[in-house]
Amino acid sequence: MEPVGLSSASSKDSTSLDVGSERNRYPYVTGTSVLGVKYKDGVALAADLGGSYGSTLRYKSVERIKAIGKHTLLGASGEISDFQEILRYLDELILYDNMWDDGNSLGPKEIHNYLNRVMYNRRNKFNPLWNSLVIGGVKNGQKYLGMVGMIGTHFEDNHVATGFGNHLARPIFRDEWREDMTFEEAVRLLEKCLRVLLYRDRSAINKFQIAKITDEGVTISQPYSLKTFWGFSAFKDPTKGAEGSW
Amino acid sequence: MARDAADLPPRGGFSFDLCRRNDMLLKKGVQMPSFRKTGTTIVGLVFQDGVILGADTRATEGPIVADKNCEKIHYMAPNIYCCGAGTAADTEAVTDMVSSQLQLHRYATGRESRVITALTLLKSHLFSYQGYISAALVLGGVDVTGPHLHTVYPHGSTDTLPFATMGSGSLAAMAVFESKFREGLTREEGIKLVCEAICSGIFNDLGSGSNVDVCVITKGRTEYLRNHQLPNPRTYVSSKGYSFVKGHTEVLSTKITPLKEKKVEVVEGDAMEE
Repeated sequence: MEPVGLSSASSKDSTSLDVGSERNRYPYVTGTSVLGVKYKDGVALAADLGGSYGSTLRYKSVERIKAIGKHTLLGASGEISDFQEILRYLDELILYDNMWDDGNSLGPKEIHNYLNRVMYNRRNKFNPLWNSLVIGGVKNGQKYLGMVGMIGTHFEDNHVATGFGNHLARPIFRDEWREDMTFEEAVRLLEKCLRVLLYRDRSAINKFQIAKITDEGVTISQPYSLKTFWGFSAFKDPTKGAEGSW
Repeated sequence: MARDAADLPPRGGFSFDLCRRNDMLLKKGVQMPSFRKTGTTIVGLVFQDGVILGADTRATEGPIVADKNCEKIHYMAPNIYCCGAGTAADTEAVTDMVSSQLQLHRYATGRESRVITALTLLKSHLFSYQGYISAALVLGGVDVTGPHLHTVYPHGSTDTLPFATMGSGSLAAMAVFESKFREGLTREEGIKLVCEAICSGIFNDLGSGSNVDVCVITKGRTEYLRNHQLPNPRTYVSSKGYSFVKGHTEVLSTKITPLKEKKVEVVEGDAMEE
């Protein structure tokens, strides 16, 4: 089943010598980390709503988590335009799948595999889609959470994070994730990591969405912000005992 | 180069004369010798009675672990200790040097050393070497003005903070601090938090590993808890031990050559004339 979208993309990436104009050398508008955890009834994803243009915070309402079909959530960090392109490919994929009308629907494992093939093939043509994708979903009671990188690296795990989340959130996940967390506990864990990212990642903004998927369906929350704490007494007069330093 | 001794100021700091020659050598393909770095996790925090410093104990040379149990918390003064990340030789040398300078200063003034003294000595030394001395330090101590915690970067800038992390494992440790730190921790809570942060670095960063060292500094008392936690024990040790009795290895042939006695002629000589 070859969706039309993919073949038109491959005709664009010609192997002729004028490939230079088609190559994706660096990302322009980027989203920062996406976090994902499995919990008792399903999977929860969290991301902020920022789209940075280099070092400027250009877009503050970029929804980086989308529902795909009935069973999957997709979150992306990296180049936003490439994420929108991926959503177009997946739209066609889901459309074709629905048109078969055979009672089957694509689940998260299938979406993960499809995206892995797409990313790896684009990387082999030296024209990658500059994204790190998080795919989460539940189908027939089976929870699934995986990640695909821009060079086609893919794996499945109980908790994933992209970008800066790898360094700041994964240590917390490894310590505090439990198999049988309720949704509230999962949200608390995600918010804890989102707060650390807000403090320490320069491209994070204080406007988040948490998406959950269970056997019943997908819910993506409204954007909200977290409380931060800056009231350390040491911050009030940092150089009190050290005149002249900073 | 003609030099008038009266005109030029005394030459100090780094001499950049050989940099062009080094560049030329690199272009020719000569490899620079590698140096031992302490891919590291070092942390410090201020608690209600003073300062707690923590460090891992792994020293790496590229991908190899050069020292499994090195000491990264260096002595500066009885009330001031300093954790070091970056090039091991640089952190050792610079902390040793400032420690000596502080001792001389103590003799001259007759007073307990202050943390900002160590801070200023370190930062002015590192700045004059423009970042070439690759030492990133977490300096902590308690003096008459109270508890202090500072970070010093290789280029010479400093920060004064209630909690700090440095090294390759700093993000993993900072994730723990940012989510769990509060002001006014007790000694037990502080040590526990420091150990958690270092363990986070040990298990999540490849440049850090082995054991946890902790140093607790309060007014009038310093405790250096070397290897406070050993979260990476050696699990597979043969219980029978290793013994190699005769008969383990097959002997194919034996040849015995006795050593000949060498006769040495002793000549009576005069005693050394002075």
